[in-house]
Amino acid sequence: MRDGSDDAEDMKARLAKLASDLQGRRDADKVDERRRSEVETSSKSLGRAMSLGFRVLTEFVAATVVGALIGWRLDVWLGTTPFLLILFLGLGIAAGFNNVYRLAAPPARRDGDPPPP
Amino acid sequence: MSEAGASAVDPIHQFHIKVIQPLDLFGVDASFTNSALFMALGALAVIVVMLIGTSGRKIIPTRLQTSAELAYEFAADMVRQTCGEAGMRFFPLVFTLFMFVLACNLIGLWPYTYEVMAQIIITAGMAFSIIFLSIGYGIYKHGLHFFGLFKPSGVGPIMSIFIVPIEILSFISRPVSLSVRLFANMLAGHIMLAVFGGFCVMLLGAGGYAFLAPLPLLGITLLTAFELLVSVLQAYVFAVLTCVYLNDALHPGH
Repeated sequence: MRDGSDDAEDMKARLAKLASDLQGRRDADKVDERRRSEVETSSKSLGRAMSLGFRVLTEFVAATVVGALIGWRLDVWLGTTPFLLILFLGLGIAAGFNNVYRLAAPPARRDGDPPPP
Repeated sequence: MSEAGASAVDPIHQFHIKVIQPLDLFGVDASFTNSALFMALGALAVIVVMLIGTSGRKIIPTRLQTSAELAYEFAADMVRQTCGEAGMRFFPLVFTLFMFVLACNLIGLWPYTYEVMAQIIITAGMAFSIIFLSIGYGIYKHGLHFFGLFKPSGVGPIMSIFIVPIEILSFISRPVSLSVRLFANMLAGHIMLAVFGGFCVMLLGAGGYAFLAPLPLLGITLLTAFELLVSVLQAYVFAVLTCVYLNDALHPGH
């Protein structure tokens, strides 16, 4: 039969072992979680970046096409082929660049605007 | 390849409109088509989720209640952040659009269903209604001052000759880009899925190369996950841009 002090020593050793095991598990969990969140944010940011890229593309193309269409129809209507087409195509391209610039530039603060998120 | 086999691998075939119930209202073809069916299903799905989700009002919410509350808070935050508190009067519109686009996109991801948002007339109809609402509300609220939207402050009279047409053109291009973005994303995604499915079928019928058939199947699995992301993201982008355009009606002038 063991005496009391031996029992306490044993218990202390077991507790220390448990504590170190727990710490090891926690560290592993943390690394795992960080890795998982990294993967998640990278796939999410890829989707976000693709959607932003597509936004830039559509904003630019839409303005150019709208300008060209307006110029073309006005030319047919007024019989000024091709000058209005050239003028409105240029304006459309400028509007497209304007759209893209507004996407990229930080939005200007206005009075009464909500604070930026 | 036979006629039936060609249509099985035709990636555009999925977008064909099929008339389910022919209907002629005063000379207008108002037939009930598969497109209308899936629009109705999308609207019904939103109604069911919101009605059942908000009927319990438990302290510890069920899954449906949580999703309904999450959707509401997400959209409400979005409207508040882009339009401010005054924009909350447009919240029902933005929330309806967001949930409808989201539900249609998610339903359209199932096999044998129909992707409503891959029809440009649907997205263009929504985009142009938003722009006309924005113009109408802007004029109603601010009168002719609304057209100050087209003239940035601090621009001299000579520069205005160039700037104002550019601003008007970029305003006109908004509904076009808004509708084309959603339409093109959904169309391209579903064509990609169908093309990969066609690869699968063709490889299976290619004799010795049939062992390669699981490769495009793996591609479809990854693409479906990606399409899920695109569906949610495009619904979000559509709703955010609706808020941005309505914000111009609320606060015109740069």
